[in-house]
Amino acid sequence: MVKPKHGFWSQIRESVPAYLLVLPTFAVFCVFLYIPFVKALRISTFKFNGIGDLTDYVGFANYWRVLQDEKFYSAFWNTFKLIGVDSLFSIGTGFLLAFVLYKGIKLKRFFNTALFIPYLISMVVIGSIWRIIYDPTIGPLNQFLEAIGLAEWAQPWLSNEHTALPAIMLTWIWHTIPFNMLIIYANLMTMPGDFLEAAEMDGATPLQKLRYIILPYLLPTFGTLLLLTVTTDLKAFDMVWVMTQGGPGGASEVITSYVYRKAFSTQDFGTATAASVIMMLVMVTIMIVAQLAGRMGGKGR
Amino acid sequence: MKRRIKIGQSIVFLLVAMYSVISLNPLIWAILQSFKTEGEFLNSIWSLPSSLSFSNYETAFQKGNLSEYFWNTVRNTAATLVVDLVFITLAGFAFAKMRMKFKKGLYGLILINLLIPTPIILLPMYLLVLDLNIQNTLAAIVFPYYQGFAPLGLILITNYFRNIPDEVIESARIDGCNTAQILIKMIVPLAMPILSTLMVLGGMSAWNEFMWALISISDSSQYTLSVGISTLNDKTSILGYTPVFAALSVSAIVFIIIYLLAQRAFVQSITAGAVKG
Repeated sequence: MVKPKHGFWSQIRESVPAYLLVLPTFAVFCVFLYIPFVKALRISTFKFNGIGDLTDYVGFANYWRVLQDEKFYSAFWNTFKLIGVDSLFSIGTGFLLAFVLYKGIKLKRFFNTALFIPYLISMVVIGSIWRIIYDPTIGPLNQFLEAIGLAEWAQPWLSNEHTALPAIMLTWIWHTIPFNMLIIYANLMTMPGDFLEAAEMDGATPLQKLRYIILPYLLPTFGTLLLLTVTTDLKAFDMVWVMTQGGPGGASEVITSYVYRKAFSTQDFGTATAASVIMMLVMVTIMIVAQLAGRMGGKGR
Repeated sequence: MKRRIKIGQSIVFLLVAMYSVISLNPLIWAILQSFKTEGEFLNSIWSLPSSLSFSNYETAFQKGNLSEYFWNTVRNTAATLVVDLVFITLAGFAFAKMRMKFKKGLYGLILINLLIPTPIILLPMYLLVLDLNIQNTLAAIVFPYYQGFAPLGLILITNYFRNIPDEVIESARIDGCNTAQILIKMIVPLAMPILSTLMVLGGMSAWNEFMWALISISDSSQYTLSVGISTLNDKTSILGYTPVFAALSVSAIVFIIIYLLAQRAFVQSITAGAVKG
């Protein structure tokens, strides 16, 4: 900007090849993300059953209705429970497994593949299999508990309001661990060897290497995985829908199943969209806070 | 000292082995059930199948419309992958290695996607698909799937491309290569490992996607496996449990096989690069 040669328009002109390469992506995003998103904001201020034009403007009434709905709060809370439990156990276990594979283990290639398999099966298929596993009569879980003498623990896992959500969480974590493992493992493998060699020369113990080299090296990876976990879990739907449809009595309802039910069971598209906009605002707030916290933490060092 | 390490290693090995068994057990159990007769299954869920009979698979494919769901899913996934890989490679290279005014802003515009919960745009997107008159066509599946996969794919490939030294690209430019040649001759071969990873991830999300397919596909002859399977769950009383297990096994196993094939290519691409490099 100081040199006249690098003026605004010449910079734009230099960027044309790059713009051409990102054009297909932005074309798709315009049609299938930005325009629908703006339209959604409009729909959220109308009473709308999905047919015809938007005529019945109601202002923020849809938002108020959502904010007064207890079921919305419980769906909200359930979603955040899922995010919390998933972040902790899935990334944690994923790191442990990745670390073991990185350090080397017999049959490493076999484990590398076998451990990844649960992630390859679709949520719908997993949900269907685990639905049968949790089944009160023919389900293996209850039959197993009876076989080892814990018959009093046996119960209709998915239709008991206290166990439905934990049962889904367990299945969910089982599915997500391999993804976290794979990404952490890939990052460990690209860790420059000289870091560790230098530490070894200085006589670092394995624990010190883990604490002062490996974990700090992986910190950005953990950050990315956390972000992906939050955004994926926020969209949780398939498994919940197949296993419980949010039941019993909303005990395992998550935001997305709440929105789906509002839209496609009660045809109340205005309220459904308003609920998802509220969810997005909360999301964005969390992200901004996380960013600020990260920046403050960075300065603290 | 050495002995202690050995014992430690065996304990770790045992733990990992146990974890693998527990982790794979639900799938293996479901596959075993798919070979039993309905009577055998109801009699004991632990017993092994008395014979290797594929009759449940026949029932699932014939009475459960599984073959139709299956081929629809194969077609959707293949088309989505072509779009995914081409679009992401182009955009990722531009973001990582090219001069671009407003780069950060544009990258942000793509990552914004991660903040917009899917349900917000599902309904307007559905109305749009109706307006454009593309319901039940490939376009109504492929582009929304690309939109969903692009942020993750772009993060991964942009980070990967950033690690390629600028000098490599500069020297190719000095040798007279244009951007297209650099992309095809240099970047794509170098990117094989990340591309096969993206193929697995993108293929999987397309193969498994449920919510958009459930909402947007109105013609039951266009149903995907996910939608078909979800309707099968409620048909256990008509079809019986074991054909449902067969259907579940098919849709789980096919992708595992694809992954195993891609994984081999993935390993080969790494070793090939190492030999040449």
